[in-house]
Amino acid sequence: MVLVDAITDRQTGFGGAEESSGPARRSDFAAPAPKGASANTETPLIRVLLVLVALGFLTLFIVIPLVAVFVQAFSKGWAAYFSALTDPDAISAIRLTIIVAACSVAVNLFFGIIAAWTITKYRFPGKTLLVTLIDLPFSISPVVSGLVFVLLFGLQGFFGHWLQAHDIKILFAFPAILLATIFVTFPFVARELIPLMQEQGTSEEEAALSLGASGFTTFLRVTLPNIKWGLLYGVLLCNARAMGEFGAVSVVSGHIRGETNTMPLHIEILYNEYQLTAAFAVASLLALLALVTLVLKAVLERKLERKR
Amino acid sequence: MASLSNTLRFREPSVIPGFGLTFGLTLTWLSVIVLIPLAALILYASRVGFDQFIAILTATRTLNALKLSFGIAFAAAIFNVIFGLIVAWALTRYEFPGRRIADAIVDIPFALPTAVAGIALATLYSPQGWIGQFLAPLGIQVTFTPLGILVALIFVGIPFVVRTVQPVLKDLDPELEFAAATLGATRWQVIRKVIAPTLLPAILTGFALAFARAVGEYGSVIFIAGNLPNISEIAPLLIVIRLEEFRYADATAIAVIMLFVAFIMLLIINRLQRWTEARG
Amino acid sequence: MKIDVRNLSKRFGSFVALKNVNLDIASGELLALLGPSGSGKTTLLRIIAGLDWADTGDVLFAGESAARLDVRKRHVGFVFQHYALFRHMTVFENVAFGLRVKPRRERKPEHEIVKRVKKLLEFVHIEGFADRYPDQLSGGQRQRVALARALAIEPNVLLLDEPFGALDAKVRKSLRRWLRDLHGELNVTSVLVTHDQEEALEVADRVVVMGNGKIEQVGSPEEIYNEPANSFVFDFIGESVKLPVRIENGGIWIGSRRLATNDELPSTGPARLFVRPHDLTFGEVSEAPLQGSVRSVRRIGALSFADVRLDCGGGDDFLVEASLPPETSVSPGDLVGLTPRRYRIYEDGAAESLTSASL
Repeated sequence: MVLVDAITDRQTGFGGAEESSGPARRSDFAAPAPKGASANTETPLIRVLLVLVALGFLTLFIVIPLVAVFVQAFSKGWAAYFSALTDPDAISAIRLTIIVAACSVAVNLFFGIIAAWTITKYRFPGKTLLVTLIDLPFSISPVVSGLVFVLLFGLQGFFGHWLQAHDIKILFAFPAILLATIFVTFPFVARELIPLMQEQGTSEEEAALSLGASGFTTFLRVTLPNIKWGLLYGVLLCNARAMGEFGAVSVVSGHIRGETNTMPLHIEILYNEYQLTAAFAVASLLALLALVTLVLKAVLERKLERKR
Repeated sequence: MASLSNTLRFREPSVIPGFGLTFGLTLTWLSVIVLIPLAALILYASRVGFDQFIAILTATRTLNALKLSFGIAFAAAIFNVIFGLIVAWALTRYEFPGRRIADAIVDIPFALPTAVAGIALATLYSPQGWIGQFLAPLGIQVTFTPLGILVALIFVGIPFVVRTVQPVLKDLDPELEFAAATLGATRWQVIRKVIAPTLLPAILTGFALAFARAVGEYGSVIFIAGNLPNISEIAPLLIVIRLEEFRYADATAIAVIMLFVAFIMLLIINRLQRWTEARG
Repeated sequence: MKIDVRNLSKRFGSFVALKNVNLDIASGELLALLGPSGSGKTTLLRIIAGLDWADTGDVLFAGESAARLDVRKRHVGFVFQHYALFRHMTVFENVAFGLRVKPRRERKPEHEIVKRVKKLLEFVHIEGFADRYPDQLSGGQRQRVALARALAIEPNVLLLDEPFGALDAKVRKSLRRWLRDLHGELNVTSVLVTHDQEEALEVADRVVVMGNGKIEQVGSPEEIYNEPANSFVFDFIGESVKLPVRIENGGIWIGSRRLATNDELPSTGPARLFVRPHDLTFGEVSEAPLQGSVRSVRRIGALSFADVRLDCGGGDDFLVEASLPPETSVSPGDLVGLTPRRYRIYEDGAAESLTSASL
């Protein structure tokens, strides 16, 4: 065996780097940070102090408001709580909220998968721009999200006169509420799927195709099972936001009691009428939804973690 | 025998079928739901006329609303950076009872509807409320003041800094810190010279996300703010008020400014996220 | 099945992956595409499979153009670098996948699918793992599953992308031998991509050495090793020592010493001498064309090595590790002579060998 100093760089030419587009693998040696390691951490006093500040902050800003919702809701007993929830206006608000959320989740689920598929399985110019545009509703004020539909369908809007002439009601009715909700929840599913599908790469799809599967079969039997938990996660977040959306819906709903009021809007009306207990009773349902969402999210995250 | 001509083509060929269909559907749906409505906003604004546009935006009430929205969003984001860092640090570096629950709680502002947060905060900080009763004797009035807006915007922004900093902190190779320590660096020097530079992109990303969210926030603010014109009236609320007065031009002009800022923030955030990934 | 690659070229942006590549793959042979990363070997494999497209050129399957043939219709068994096993399916379902997704009229009844999959699992010796999921298997087992899955569709050709790349050395060796035997039994045309020369030389009937998107040499493992067509192949295959020489006055000169007389060569000035380390013999300082001083001696088991610092003239020093003959003993500081028994001379910058010689 001979090595001449002039040629030792040969090894580096193929030191294990691969030219194929296999899935990027995470480094295995990124060990979790040592907890409570001695040489590498702060003094016990500082540690305790930091934990206390963190817990204090979370308690003050998150736990207390959350607890307050439930305490206020039950402040006049179970009977008052249930009568607030069984009020016809409350029931109609709950019904509308569920329908709107179900529709927008279904629609965004479908298009979220398609968008994520397009973005992660192909290479084309302008992809970054497309991702940015899909993200756009995230950073737009909900009020502006509602306003755009007023400008489109309102009486002074672009289609206002035409809609009125044909007796089609969009604004201050179900269609606008649904559109506004779809708008604000547009990115949720796609956002959740894109990093997941990116990480998984395309080699399993290629394998399926080389074994003779059609494109749709490949999606159904190879891609979909791999993304199902991420998908469910996206649906959960999408649903939570759809049910809780306030600003955008508030602008387009017209606040017609028993007709175009969703749960958040109903809460606003009750609160402004000083029916605090009733407002918090309805709010407690939404708070419960948030808690359930987070518990399921934690469960799903652990499942996703194990998948990796 | 050329199998495929090397002519101009839109995308690189891929063995995976369905590009035309999925790309077409994505673009169509994006246009219908997001792009056309936003284009309507821009079109409407362009009809307003430049002079009137400027007049609307420089009206005292508009200016005050915009100043309030941006100023308090900025303050809330700064606040969230400081406390978000402490929370992220405690959650990733230390083991303590209730750590898992605390970790889960961080996401609540993401999931809790803004209206629910709004009425809860307004009730808590009212002079008779659980928290307000302790502040009132000190002469601190939270509800119906900019301070109330700050409280609401801090609430909605909490998860952003924590959730962007946490993964970077988790992936930080502990050997880096050991190495620095063996080279004689004190703990504080390690934090300043080794950890902080690594975290910086994530911190900025978290700040930008929290700020962008806070600027546009509506639901959690309006209950606690009291909405006094020029004092505690935020820009999104002014849009709603102008709409209710059928002053569409005014509403549109303010909305265009907010949309513009949102878009800029989104571009900045994308940059920052790429930076974060490059550092990670 | 016979596969012909005709004038393939492929670019990724400004990077040229393949430059006018021509290659005939005989029916039933086991061919290795060997080259450093970025040499275009994986791209070539993926184009044969139909997973990628060439900018120009064609691939002929049994004489017929496959350019318009979809990957699904090509019947290639592709074994992916990281196996690409379907992680949500058991081993059994992975192997059965290709049989189950056939169009209804071509699909075999369930009991035949089960029978065939069982046979395949036995064939690759993983029949005990049918109900496991891929992440419950070792690397070598996954490799076998990937192979069984590819074989299930009775492929015209078996394509393997760095099949042993992700395995540890021991498993790699045993799987190599196993693949060789398996190919002997099946006799299916197989193309294997690897950056590991040992692997290519051991397993393949023929080896294609690739560099920078071009085929540098095609030949049997012996030919590749013993008669490298050019400096790239000499350098890439096996260990090599490169030393600066001059061709002047009818001789090949190393510093002031003449290595050989050679009247055929024109005096072209500087050139490079390529020699395998084991072709360097120790000899008398006064007679050997190369001389140097021993820097250190190491014994590893039964073998001894000496690091020799060669003086090639012009102030250039080269540190060479040479294996010592059993009876020889040298110690650091000794002046020794080295004679290249077999070598090749390449003109600087040129790939083709000017001359080769065995002394």
